[in-house]
Amino acid sequence: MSARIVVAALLAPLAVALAGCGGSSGGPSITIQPGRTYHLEGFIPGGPVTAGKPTPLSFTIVQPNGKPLTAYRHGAGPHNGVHVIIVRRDLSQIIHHHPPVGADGKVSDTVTFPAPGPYRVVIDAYPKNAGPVPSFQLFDKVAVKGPYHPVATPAFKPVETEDGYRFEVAGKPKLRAAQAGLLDVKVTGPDGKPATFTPWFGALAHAIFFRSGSLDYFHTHVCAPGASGCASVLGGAKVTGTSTTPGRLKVGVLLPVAGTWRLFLQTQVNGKVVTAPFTLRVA
Amino acid sequence: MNFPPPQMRLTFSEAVEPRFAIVSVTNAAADQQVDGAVRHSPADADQLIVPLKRVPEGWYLVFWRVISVDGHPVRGAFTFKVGPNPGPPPRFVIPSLSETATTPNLLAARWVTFLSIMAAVGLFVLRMAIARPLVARVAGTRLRAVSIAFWLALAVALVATPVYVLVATSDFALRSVWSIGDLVPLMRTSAFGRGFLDIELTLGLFALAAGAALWLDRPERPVRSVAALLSLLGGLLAAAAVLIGPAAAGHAAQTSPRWFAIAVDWVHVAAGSLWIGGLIGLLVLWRSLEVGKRVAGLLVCVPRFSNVAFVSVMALLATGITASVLHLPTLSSLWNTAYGHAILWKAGILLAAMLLGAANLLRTKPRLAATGERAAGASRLLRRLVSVEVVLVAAAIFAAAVLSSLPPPPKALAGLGTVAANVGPGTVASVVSENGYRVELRVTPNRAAVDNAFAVRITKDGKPVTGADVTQTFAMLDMEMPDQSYRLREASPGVYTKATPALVMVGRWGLTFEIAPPGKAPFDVVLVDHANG
Repeated sequence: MSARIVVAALLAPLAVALAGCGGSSGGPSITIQPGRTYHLEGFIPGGPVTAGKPTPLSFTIVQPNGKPLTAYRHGAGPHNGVHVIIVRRDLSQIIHHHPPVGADGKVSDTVTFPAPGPYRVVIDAYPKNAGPVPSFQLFDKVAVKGPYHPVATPAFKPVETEDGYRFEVAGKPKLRAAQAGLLDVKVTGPDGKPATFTPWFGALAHAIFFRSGSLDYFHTHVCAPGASGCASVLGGAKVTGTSTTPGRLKVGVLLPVAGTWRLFLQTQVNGKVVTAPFTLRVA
Repeated sequence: MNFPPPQMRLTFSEAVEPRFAIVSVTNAAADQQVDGAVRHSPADADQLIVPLKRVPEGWYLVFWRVISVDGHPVRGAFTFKVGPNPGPPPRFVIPSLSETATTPNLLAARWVTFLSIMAAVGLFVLRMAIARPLVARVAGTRLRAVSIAFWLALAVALVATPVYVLVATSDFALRSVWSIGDLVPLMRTSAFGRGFLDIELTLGLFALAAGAALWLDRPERPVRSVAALLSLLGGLLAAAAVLIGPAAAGHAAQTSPRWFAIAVDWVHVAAGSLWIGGLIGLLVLWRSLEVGKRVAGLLVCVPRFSNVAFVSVMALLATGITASVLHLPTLSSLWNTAYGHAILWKAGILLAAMLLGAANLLRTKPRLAATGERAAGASRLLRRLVSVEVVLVAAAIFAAAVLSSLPPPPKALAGLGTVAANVGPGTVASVVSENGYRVELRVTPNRAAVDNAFAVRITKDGKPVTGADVTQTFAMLDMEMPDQSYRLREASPGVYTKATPALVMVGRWGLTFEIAPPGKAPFDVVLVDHANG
């Protein structure tokens, strides 16, 4: 009799365990749902456009929560609003605009594409209530009708003259991927005197970098002494340049990947924005 | 990284079995990027190699799930980006599988396994040592019933152990329990499976040794023969070997110092075995003894068992407390974590059982020595008390099965420091006092994977504390994930806010607010927040 009680006591739970086995055949499996992210909506032009003609370009940035981004950062420094930077695939053409943002978040611009070919559009956005990233870039492309004759990226030349302004890079820069460097640039006006820079969109000069081929994008700024919110961030590193004497720009360079990069150095002199392109080899 | 990686290497703190591992790498659109089977690194058993497709520029979510050596699923997630311009980081939705090793099936199987092994060992010791003098001292009594109970418990243990390993392996591998052909190789390759197969092997040895000991033993002779003594020694050694199994296959083997944790666990399980097996044996004896010889028989066995049980209970207490200290990162994890809850339940149940044991020791035992109806009444009372005690100890072993199925509290909890409050699920409005400051936290809606508004109102002596530097850190407590930190903005005097989707998944989050009032000593406020889906 005693034995039977013990058998029952010990076997009952085992029976329960075995009976339950059939139900566990499914088991959990991992299904990942799509993430939500900032993205462009209603980007126009949607199709090929004509060169040399003012073309409307507009888009809305949609936030991860599905609502259009309407609040952009304002204030001192170059990290504000929306920057639209357009380059042709061969990096022979660049357009840098700061279009206005409508109340509904729609960013509207008019762009005249200079020549036929494929263009990459970089939208550099600085939202007001930024999360862990202070800014982000979204990308799109525009095709301009007509025969595309790509221009080979020229070799490094220390001197570039644009609109009568002479830009001269001191020495031959030795740049390495993911290592910060400085370019020492001397700018003289048509009169031969050192150029006086006036801040344009929060910086004395904007240095826009595109990598030849992949069109990877990065940019830094040359800041006035004491300017706040001017430094650019790559990874955890802050990059900035300075200008303390007229006619001299120290341009911070920190490029993530080796290769041939094209630097578009933009400054405002005498109320006019001048863009000087340089070719840089990054080892 | 700047260029697409051809593969990903995940390095774990211990060896992992790729066939149990699930690794998912998805882009923002949730397209799977894993290209082929996950395999071991030939050089390093702790490393898994995950072949990837050629992934384009962008952000990727890695979600992994492996089975730890001590046999429960461990999960983790992190993101990485490819290319110099991956764009803004997407808000990935991280799946929160509410899976543990504590499914009802697994728990039941684990409980039966533990209970039967422990009962078998305890019944063997009762039969061979504690109750053995009965036969010589009370004429016409036998211990056959105890032997039968022992064989039954051992038989159940021999069946339950492989069944448990099979059920557990099928759960961990996310395969059907009936696909035995797939599961058997997995049982042999996983440390967890091998641990329990070792138990099965030692159980078999124990059966042989115990069989020899029982066959050679002549309980009617007070003095044992040399052969009987040797066979008894063999049986006890085999029993001791069986009891190392759960320690070696469980948390103890993963806790440093390893030998100490295993020794503590072994003493704990051995003491528990003597107690539960002895109690069951007493019930069996009570039933099997003729009514006329019952009181006399109990008078021989109960005092002897009481002494053993007393020592066992003391050993249980000491080793239980030591093991808790070893496995719990902080004292507060006792009431903050499921693991801690299981310890509290187990301790509570054992305490109740100990009270009953004490009642037996102090009241029933002396009464048994009395004569006539008083002794008979005491024997009936003894049976009732012991029955309840058996149920309680069996329940405590169930709590032990739960406990050993749960992963010990994450070390992240220890890193958090003193938790001021547990909040959530649902909207949070909680007030804590720290350093003379009153800190009021509001979280709306406190749901996972959406924008949550965090607002901290800091006051001192009723006045808002303005101009403070407030940083909030999010630490996922239920799985391995990198921490995130944000600076809060002062929205109105003394109120610091941030809207962020940082609670990326369902589960418990450690929220640390580092508050630096201007010109005053900084202080931290730590809360554990439960976010629901």
